[in-house]
Amino acid sequence: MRFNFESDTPIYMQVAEQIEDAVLSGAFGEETQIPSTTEISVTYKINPATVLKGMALLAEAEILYKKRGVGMFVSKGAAGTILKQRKEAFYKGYIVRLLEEAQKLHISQQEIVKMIEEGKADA
Amino acid sequence: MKIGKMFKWYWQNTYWGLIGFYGAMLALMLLGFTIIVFSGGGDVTMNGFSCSSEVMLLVMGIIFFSAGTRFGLSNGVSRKTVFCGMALFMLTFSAGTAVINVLGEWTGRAMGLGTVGIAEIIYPWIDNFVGRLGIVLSRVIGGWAMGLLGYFIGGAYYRMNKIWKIIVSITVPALLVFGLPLLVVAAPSSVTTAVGKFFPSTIDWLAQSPYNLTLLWLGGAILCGIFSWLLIRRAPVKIAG
Amino acid sequence: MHNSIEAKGLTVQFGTVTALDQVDISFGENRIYGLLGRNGAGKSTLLNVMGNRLYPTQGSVSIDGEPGAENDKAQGKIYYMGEKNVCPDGTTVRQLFRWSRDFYPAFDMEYANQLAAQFGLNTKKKLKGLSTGYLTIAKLIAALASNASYVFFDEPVLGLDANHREMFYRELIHRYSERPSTIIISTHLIEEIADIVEQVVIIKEGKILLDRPAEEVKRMGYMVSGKASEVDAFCAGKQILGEDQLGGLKSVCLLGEPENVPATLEIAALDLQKLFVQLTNA
Repeated sequence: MRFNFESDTPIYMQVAEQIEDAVLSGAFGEETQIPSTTEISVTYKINPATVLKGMALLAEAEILYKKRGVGMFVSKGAAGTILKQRKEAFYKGYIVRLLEEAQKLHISQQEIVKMIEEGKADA
Repeated sequence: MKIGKMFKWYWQNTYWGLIGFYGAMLALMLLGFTIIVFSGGGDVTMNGFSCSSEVMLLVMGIIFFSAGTRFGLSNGVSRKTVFCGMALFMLTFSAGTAVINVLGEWTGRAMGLGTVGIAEIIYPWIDNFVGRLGIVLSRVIGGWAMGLLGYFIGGAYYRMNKIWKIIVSITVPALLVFGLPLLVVAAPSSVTTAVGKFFPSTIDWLAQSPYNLTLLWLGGAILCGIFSWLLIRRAPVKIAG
Repeated sequence: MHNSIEAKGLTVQFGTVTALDQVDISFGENRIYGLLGRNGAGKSTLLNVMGNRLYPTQGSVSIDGEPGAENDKAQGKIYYMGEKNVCPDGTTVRQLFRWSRDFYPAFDMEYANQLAAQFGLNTKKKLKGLSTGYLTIAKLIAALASNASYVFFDEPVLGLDANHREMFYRELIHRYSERPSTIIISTHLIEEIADIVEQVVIIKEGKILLDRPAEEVKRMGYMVSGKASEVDAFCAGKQILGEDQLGGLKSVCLLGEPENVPATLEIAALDLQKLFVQLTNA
């Protein structure tokens, strides 16, 4: 996990994002326990209340669930849920803005496609 | 009760000094004893114990104000408790040393060492229990008064800022050395005669009974106590450096 | 039962200097506060008054609903880790721990010794013989192990190297997670505590300038930069905190949230430290 403390995104949202990333990458498998609030807050020197807020966000979205007296677990199908959300966010966050920016720079649709192909070759 | 905790704290900060003090006293006594034995005994008198424990109490008092106030207030103890713990400790300590001193002197005398305390000099005629108790009591309260006087002096220094400290350090000894004789010389004759009458009559009164001496010390102790309390009542935590 | 420290109308005057000026503030249960201010702003004075180390000229403090001044019971709930050593000269680290246990019955000796080992602090040493850093560590350990309901840290990382600072922050959060208490940290190293504190209190010239949740404080202001003329046009009528100019390039710190920003201007977040500097400048 990495936190960008300078970024505009509130830290609790970053906590949620980072956990989601770990679920997506498979680091936190479905139906497995994730690190405790204490572990996360100690490791990243973040107020436990902030971490808790991030986790609550994910619990609300049913990506995590709580096992009483044990801790937080990754829900079944969580990776799929996240993927779906992220795709929507990708469209709004990148594609729409990409097209806006392209319009400013007078880049045609064909040019964009070409650029994407070039970028793919580089990546 | 935090008074008890403060009491313990004062004790923990005293006992090394105490051990050193009585160790030195004992060494001196042994030295005196050897001299007496080798010189064939006789008219050597020792009263080393009697005054020096009062001096120790005075020094303790001076140190306790700053040390106790700093530590106590920084550890959740109120000024009231810091002060009461100190007064109680001083009284107990004075009582302890008075008993040890008196016992030491009496044993010395029983061994034919001719050790004599100040009270024995003032009240040579005392030989009953009530009188002796009075002597011990006057010592206890006397030591307490000295301790509280030290506490007051320590407190006055603690509360003064640097400039006042310098002024007081110079003017008070100067007044005692030069001012007092000047005052005696300059005072009108009516005042000097009144004072001249007052002192001998007070000493006469004191010489009547060790309980009178105790009362005088008690008055001094209460006075020093009141003034010290005024000093600590609003004292902040002050740390040099 | 109000589990909080409440200060009402606190005024402290040192001669002609007003160190605190009619301060009203409360520190609630089990939260971590960052008490920030420039040198001489009144941070330590506020902590000193709440901890009964200093009498206010005016005003009062209550601790969990009880009067705080000269109250042994209420003051026993506060552990104040100050900048300086308050123990007599010959005191050893071990003695400091023992005394802390005497006066704070919940003091955890085992934990204190464990921390001492972790930090490489020799408990047999006298406090006077310790370096600035290790004296701080000794006091930090006593504070962490005190288990008091309210723990004040006044300059808690004075003289500590980066590794020890890191260790302290982690230990602080660890301890807090396990045994929550109200913690007030007064420090100049703002960035280091920015994400640890839940509530930010900024004090300036003896007055409370700001008392808000850290998450909100981060969104209080922003920085806009770009061509000087455009920046000026955008900033017109807005609350300006401070500005910098580099040739034709200008950046201005503004209060509020960015709205309708022209695409030609750059917007950046104002982190706690930057905001603090802007708010307390001049």
